[in-house]
Amino acid sequence: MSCFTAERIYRYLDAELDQAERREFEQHLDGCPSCRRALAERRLVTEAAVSLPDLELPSDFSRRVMERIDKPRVTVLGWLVLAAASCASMTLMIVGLFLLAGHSLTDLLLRIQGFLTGTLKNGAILFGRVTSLISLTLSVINHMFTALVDGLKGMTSVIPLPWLAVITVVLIGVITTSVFGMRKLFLGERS
Amino acid sequence: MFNYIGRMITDRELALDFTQDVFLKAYASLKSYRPDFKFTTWLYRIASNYVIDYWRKKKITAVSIDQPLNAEEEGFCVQVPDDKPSVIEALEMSELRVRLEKAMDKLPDPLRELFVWRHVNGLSYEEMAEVKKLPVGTVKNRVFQAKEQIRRILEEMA
Repeated sequence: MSCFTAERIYRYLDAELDQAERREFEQHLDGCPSCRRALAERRLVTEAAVSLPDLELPSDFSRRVMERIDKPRVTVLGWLVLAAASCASMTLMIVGLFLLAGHSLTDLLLRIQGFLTGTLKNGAILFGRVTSLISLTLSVINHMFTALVDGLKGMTSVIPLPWLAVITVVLIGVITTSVFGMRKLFLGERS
Repeated sequence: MFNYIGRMITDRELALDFTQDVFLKAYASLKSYRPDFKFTTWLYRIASNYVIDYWRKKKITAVSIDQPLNAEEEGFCVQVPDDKPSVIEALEMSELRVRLEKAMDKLPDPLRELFVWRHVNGLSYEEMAEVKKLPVGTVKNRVFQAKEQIRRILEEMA
């Protein structure tokens, strides 16, 4: 009988031969020292591979991984529930204290009305001021933009168009590089 | 996991970083994990993708394991006997392990990956096939090839 292939030997070691193949294989081994040696060699390599020592991890490896995991985030709904619960408990506390202090319910309602009116009035004033601030900011941006456009128009008359295109590309490159550089610097992003 | 990645990427610090990244990536992608797959299989797939990306970036020729490495190995019918004295049998087990680690470094990367999964991490052929999305027969054949190449390298090292 001719000797077996390496594949057959590996399948034997993996216990993947059926009973008849296995019997045939073992019968052949009895009379073939070369195949016995081939089997022993391959078995040794497999045993050595299976018993390779684990690569050593630093003792703080798990801690380092856990530190890099984001803390669980509270969802928007979670925040809303929290805010509603806080408002409800504060209201209950204020009403309770007010009634305990000997005031009547009508008195309490009148005070609440006064408080709401005051808040609305102050809110309206604040809204008006914020609106005028936004309007002023927009006006400044508009002036800056107009000045920029005028400047560019002036440049086109002085600098030829191809050069202007080159300058624009270089500027975009510089800005992009700066933004990515800042991100890397401040967020510590991995390259 | 480090036993796998550490043997794929020789730079220890980089391998540690990669191992951390694999766990972080798995954590961030937990929603995409489907319980009909084994968790470790899913984790090894993430790790394998990291390693393959690294090979690509390092311009290491990534030989596809679903293709034969060369025509000679296609059939994988190495007829076994030869009458030379066995170098491997003459080695102490501890020495054999040391040489085996060195021999593994000389294996083509995709074969080394399968060899490590099979014998160091103890993955079954079916699990490896699932990770690599390859037929089980192909994976078995590649593992046998890896072992045969390692045996040859060990003989040459003597």
